[in-house]
Amino acid sequence: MTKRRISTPSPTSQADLSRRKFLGTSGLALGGLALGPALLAACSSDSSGGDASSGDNELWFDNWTLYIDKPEGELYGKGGTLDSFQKASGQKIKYTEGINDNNEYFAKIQPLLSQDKPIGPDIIALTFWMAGRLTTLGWVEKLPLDKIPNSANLIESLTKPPSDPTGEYSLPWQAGMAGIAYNKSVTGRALNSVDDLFDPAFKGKIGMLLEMRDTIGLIAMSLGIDLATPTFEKFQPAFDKLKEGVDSGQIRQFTGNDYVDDLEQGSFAACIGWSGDVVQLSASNPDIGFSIPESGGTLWFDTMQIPVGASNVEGAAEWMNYVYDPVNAAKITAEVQYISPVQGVQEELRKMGGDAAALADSQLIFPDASTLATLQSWGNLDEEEEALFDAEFAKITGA
Amino acid sequence: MAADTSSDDRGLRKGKWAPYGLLSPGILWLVLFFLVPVMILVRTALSSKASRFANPEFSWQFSNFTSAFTDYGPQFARSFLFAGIATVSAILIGYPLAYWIATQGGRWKNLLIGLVVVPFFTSYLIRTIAWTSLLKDDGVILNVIHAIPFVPQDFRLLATPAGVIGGLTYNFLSFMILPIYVSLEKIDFRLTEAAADLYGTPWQAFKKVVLPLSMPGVFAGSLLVFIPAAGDYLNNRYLGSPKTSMIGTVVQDKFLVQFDYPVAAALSLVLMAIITTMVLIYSKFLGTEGLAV
Amino acid sequence: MNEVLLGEEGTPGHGAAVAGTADVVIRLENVVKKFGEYTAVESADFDIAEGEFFSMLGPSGCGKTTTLRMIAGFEQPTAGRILLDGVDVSKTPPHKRNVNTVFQNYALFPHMSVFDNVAFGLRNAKVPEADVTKRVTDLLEIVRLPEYAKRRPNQLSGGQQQRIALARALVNLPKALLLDEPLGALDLKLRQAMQLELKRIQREVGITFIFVTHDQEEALTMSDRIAVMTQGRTDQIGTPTQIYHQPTTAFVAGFIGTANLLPVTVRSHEGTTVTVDSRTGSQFRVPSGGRSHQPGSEVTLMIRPERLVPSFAPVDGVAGGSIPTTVTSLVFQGPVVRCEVQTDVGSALVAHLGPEDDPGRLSVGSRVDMTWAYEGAYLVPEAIDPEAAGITQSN
Repeated sequence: MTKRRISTPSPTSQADLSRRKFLGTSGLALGGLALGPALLAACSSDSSGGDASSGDNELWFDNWTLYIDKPEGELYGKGGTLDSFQKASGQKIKYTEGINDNNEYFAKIQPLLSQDKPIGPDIIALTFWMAGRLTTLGWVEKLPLDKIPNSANLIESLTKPPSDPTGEYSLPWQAGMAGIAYNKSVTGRALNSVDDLFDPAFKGKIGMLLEMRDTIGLIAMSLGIDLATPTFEKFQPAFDKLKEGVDSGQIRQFTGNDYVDDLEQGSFAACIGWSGDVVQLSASNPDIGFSIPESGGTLWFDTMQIPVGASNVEGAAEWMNYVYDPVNAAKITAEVQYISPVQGVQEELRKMGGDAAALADSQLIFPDASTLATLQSWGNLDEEEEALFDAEFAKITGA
Repeated sequence: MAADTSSDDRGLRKGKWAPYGLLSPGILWLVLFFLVPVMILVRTALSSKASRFANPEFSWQFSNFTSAFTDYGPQFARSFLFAGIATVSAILIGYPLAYWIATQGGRWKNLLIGLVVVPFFTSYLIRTIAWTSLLKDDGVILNVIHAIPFVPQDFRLLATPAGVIGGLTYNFLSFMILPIYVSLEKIDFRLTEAAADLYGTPWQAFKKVVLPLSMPGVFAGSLLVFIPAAGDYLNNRYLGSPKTSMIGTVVQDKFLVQFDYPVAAALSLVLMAIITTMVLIYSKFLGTEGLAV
Repeated sequence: MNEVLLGEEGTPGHGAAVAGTADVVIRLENVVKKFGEYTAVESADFDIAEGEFFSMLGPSGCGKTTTLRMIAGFEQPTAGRILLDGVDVSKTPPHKRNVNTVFQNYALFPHMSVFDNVAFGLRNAKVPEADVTKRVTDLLEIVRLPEYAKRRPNQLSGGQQQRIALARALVNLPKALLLDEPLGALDLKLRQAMQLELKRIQREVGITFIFVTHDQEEALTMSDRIAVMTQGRTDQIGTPTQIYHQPTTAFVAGFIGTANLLPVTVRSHEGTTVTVDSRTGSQFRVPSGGRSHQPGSEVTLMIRPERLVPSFAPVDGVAGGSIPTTVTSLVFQGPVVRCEVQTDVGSALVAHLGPEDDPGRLSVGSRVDMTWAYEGAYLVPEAIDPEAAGITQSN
């Protein structure tokens, strides 16, 4: 999964986007003569800072790019979350933007964690299903929930998700929705159902996400398949429908975050997209629309987890507790514009006034109860089922 | 006399190891960064995994190779077809350009060659993504094409084989231009005077003298374009569609999404083997032997 | 294609001027070549006869190679005309001219066998392949390398490459063969052997050779006629004998062999004898060389070193003059002793003394009168700068 932040016209974020896209796909860029897993393993310690243990009781949080506030473009800028946290707690924090893709990150840490070796960071922010995989594999520490009293502020549906039924191994970082994004100048109308994506009028102009759970999830929901208890057999009709769309030429391409460019450039009439992207895109281009299909959208969230062997569990708990304070959480939301897992952020944003206050009224950041009711989250896929899903999806996407 | 010989001998003995000493960094490099990875790759290709996220265990699992042949025929075929067309296109575009710079560039030669290389200071990925906005459906290029009568309204370049081949050609073009330029630059252009003097028309002079003498450059350029193009997946990722996927796409997905390291390794090895074979055959026809100027 | 038979005897002309237009193969009419502001050839205006061995001789930058390249067609004259067999070819591209070139660096095609190199021109001219084989084989015989047909040029020695380059050009039986310093890259021994070889081949095929060189000895050895060039001008055209013995300019006198040049003033001209005044006040009697000299004109007296002898040695014939000098150097050079002397006005002169001149009587610093026979002196009809007087020789 690529991070759901899009390029805004500011030069800094363009550069960041470039870097992210590059890193996200550079693993095999050299001619496809892929390196062995041993070498991938060797890369992991490299990209996460080289040093496996964070010295001096420093806390290390490895996150996606552009996923926290940066006052004046600086991670540790004055008055920002990282700066305030350090001042409030006395805990030094090292924040890195090392995650570009769930699978790629997994490929990096897998060889170390499978041998019970520490990977370096104390907190990592993988997406819920990948977090679930790490939990199942026993590669994350139990969270010291007693030291995170603010977790009581969390939206309840995110505290014990199917990916972590006991809620002891992961806590949410930010959440978002997958739905239908469209360019009105091409479609000529607003779209609000998955079937619209299969409308022959848009043949060759439809994009789908390489993120299997969002693409298959949306199609499955349109076919009345429930995401809570997924099995490959049950989902076969969704795969069939997708395959038909590819074979007929209806579906043009599978993309990551770059669907944003295709959509804006009109190469895509419509596609499956992520709410956060479209909030920002529609601000500069009113033709871009986003809707949660009638049959429902997917709700995803990224988590915070403590990998086994982490050296600073205490500090990690302190950090989690800090960001679950609505005042602190609102500061992050105002910048990243995703759904905050913390209750009370809406009110805090209103208090902040200005642009931030406007965000408080966005349906895509604070979906109302009726919208929320149509959203579904994926249940856990066990190892074998997930392999089947991935393989089938790969076959359809041409891999 | 006898003393002379023995001192010569000593000199020889001392010098005997010098070449190996000079070679050793190269050999070490090859062993570390070619031989060892290839052996790891072979080992991985013959491994199996107890479960999805377990590390591969070596087990003489030859079936990984079978699946490489049975399941991914179209991707292999497309890889070589696309890479082949891209190589030929790169020759057709790159040769005249290199020729023009080498013969007409004059004192601007270095600047012009620099300009050929400048776009390649940008990352490969960014260049490829930039192409998506060049070739976008309502972009300048497509609008011009659509203005031509009888071009179907749904004609497009993105998400088509033409898009992928175009991207491959563009991305590797400088690898074609540079070696051809170097080989043209090396040619003594008095040879073309000699050809003209011997009743050769400019075309005959080119065909019989310049072209054969620049073949080492064309050969090197073809390898430099074909090999990475055949293993590429980024151009398909951004400029192609599910129907234009190449073997690199599969390898990437097998490694990074499906964690099927053994099959991914097997596919890589098969790709390497096919490319090596093709290169050997190609060099038989177009080898550099005896072409040294 | 010219149908001259291989092996036919050439008929080299020996006169300075070519008799009659029928024999003229190449005519240059006031040919000028400028590269931007720079004038490479100021005026080339001469004829070259059928079967002649014609050399263009001069120091580098004199325009000889540019002239050759204009004849070949690689350069077009800025002004003037080049006629090949009476036809104006000034604007004709090289591949349409029936002349062939032997390049300085040979320019053999490295990717072709010796046979294919030699066959190149014939094949371009669409000669039937059977004839190609025969003619190439014949030519390889003539240059005495028949067993090398299958080799690549880089497997041959410099001298062998030279012969192949020659064969490659000659096989086309051109109206004229143009040779651009073809022997320059060879060592002395090989060069001398090749000089004879070139002469032999030229006699054998009877084709006009136009030979560019900066080596005066080479030009003297091989040529029927020589054009001496300097700074884009043709100073003199003539047989080697004329060029050596009767140079028309001081440059030619100095460039061909070694010469002692002294500035003199014509006093009188009677019959075939000219009386001149030297700068030291002496008077010399010199043969007029067929020219008329106006009394009072500034001219140059040339005496070749072998004609200068000490006064105690016997003079061959009537004495022409004598100059008091001081010996500055004596160098034994085998057959001769090179004796350098200085006149009382400071000009250096050189004499090559044979055993009959008894050089043992001289020592550095000794005073001696140097004399010469009447026929041993020659008047160059051109003044020279007194500063440049004395020994002049090309290297």
